[in-house]
Amino acid sequence: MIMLGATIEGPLAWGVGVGGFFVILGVLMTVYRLVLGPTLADRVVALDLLSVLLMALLVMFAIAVQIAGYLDVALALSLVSFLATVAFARYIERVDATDHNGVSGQAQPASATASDAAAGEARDG
Amino acid sequence: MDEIAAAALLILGGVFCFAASLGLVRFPDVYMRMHAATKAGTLGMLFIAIAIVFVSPSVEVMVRALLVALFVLITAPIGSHLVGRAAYRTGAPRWAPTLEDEGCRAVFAEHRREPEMIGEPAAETAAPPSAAASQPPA
Repeated sequence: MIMLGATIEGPLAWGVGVGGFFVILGVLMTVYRLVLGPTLADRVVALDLLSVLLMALLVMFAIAVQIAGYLDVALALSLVSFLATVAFARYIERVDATDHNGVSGQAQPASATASDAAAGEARDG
Repeated sequence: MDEIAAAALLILGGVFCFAASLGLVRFPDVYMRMHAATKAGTLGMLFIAIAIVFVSPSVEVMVRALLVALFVLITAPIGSHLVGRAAYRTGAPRWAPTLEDEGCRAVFAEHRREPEMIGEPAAETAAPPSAAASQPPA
């Protein structure tokens, strides 16, 4: 396998090639879920996995071209993607459920919620 | 020998990453997708980062790769926990046969929407879900 002038040979090239093939297949399937995810939470999970797969690809690329700088890129990406996941999780908790499901009128009537709470207290006692 | 070990770890990591995204595509609701994506994805990433240890030219490179692995290992559960809690509280659609923890339901009773159900609920008495009855939608 020859990339950007640096050459690795033997089993390592096979490992990078086959492993990279699987990871890229995984990236494509994750993008499928990112586009079609029915709820916002699905998309956030897909985005999280996408960043992890991208980090894996970066580490593989660092092996393939024998440049250690790509590991720094992977480290920075892990920092940023963690912040993105936390921010999206906070956002999901704030946004109205009728928005992120794409269905209006999904919210329960207040009486049902109240009876749920009462049932929970009854079970506690 | 080191190269063979590194190549084996790279392929194993790639297969785990692929399994993670396979679960993300195939599983019926967001909690199962999270289970697949977080655990298998992190494990695949760890294998790939550890593969560098076998072929790194210097300790410096090795430490950097292990730092990436450590950081993913720390942050993946935290992020997944936050997203899961947010999904639970906002009532993300749930696979019908899922058993709900009543204590958790009571704790979140104030800030919680009732989720929609996906698929057929499991029969009351059937302990092992039969394959035909509980087939999730693709």
